[in-house]
Amino acid sequence: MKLNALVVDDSRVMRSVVMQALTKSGMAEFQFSEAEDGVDALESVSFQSIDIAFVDWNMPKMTGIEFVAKLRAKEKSYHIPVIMVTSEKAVGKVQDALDRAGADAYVTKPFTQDDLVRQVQPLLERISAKRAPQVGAKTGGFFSKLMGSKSA
Amino acid sequence: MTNFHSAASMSSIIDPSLVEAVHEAFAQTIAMFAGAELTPKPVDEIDRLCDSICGTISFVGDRNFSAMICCSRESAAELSMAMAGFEIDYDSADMGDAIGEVVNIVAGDIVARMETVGFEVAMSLPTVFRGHDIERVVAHNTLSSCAVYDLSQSQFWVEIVTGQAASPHHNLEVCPACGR
Repeated sequence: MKLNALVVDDSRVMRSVVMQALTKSGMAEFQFSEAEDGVDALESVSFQSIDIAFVDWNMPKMTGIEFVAKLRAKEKSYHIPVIMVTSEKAVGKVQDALDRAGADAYVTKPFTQDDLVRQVQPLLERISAKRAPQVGAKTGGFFSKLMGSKSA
Repeated sequence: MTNFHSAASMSSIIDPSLVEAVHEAFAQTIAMFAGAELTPKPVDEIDRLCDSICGTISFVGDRNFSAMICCSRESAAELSMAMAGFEIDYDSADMGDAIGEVVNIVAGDIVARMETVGFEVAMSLPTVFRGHDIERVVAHNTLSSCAVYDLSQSQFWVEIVTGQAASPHHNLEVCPACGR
């Protein structure tokens, strides 16, 4: 499966760490877009199709939470699965992030490749299920079969 | 338990729960990158800033303080390699990024540890500076606690600075330096 992934982090090194871990995981064929803050990321989302986003929490200009809330408010991007990649470890705070902003999952830094896979895999399955063609479409569909039999 | 009472602060002592939380966070978080146990050793002050990169982050809330990590060229290379998984040139902007990220990750752990002892604090974004012959000037009336940590090939230093002394009612150990 090919996926356009957006990685939002003010640290270039951290963006590389996330991208390398995802590539090495082999979960999908990722094509990456990078953004160093929420403002930059919102611009990216407005002109390209993003399948999944990995978002840092503690960033200048706009926090990851604010970014996700803005993402959810836009028709074009409200559906994008978001994984918060955060150094915040206070359980209450992280849960608050998920609830308030509408993030789908989170990974705390430092993370292993397995940690990332555990959080990302269910979201990839969701994306994959959405992308799968309908049963009708696979078989040509009920009405197209009727049309076919008519013309035969 | 390691005793971190600062020799520079004879009349008052930093809240031990704060000092423990910060040093434990540095030791345990960096041990996760480095894959080895780290034991902080208390020192009077950070004395080797001739060629170093330092990252600092502030905390505000129930306790106001800042924490700083200072790395030599060697420990910066070791730490950044352990954190990122690839080599980073000491003189590059990426090295600043990496040390900032280390501080940021440790800070997240400090916030969580403070929460477990009943203090709510929020952290700032990290600031990183690099240079030669950096002189550390601690403001008057502040308290500090320093420790040195050994990596496999090098060392790094951590300092906590705060304006708040421990509460007189806090269950303190006796300071070995002054007996109070």
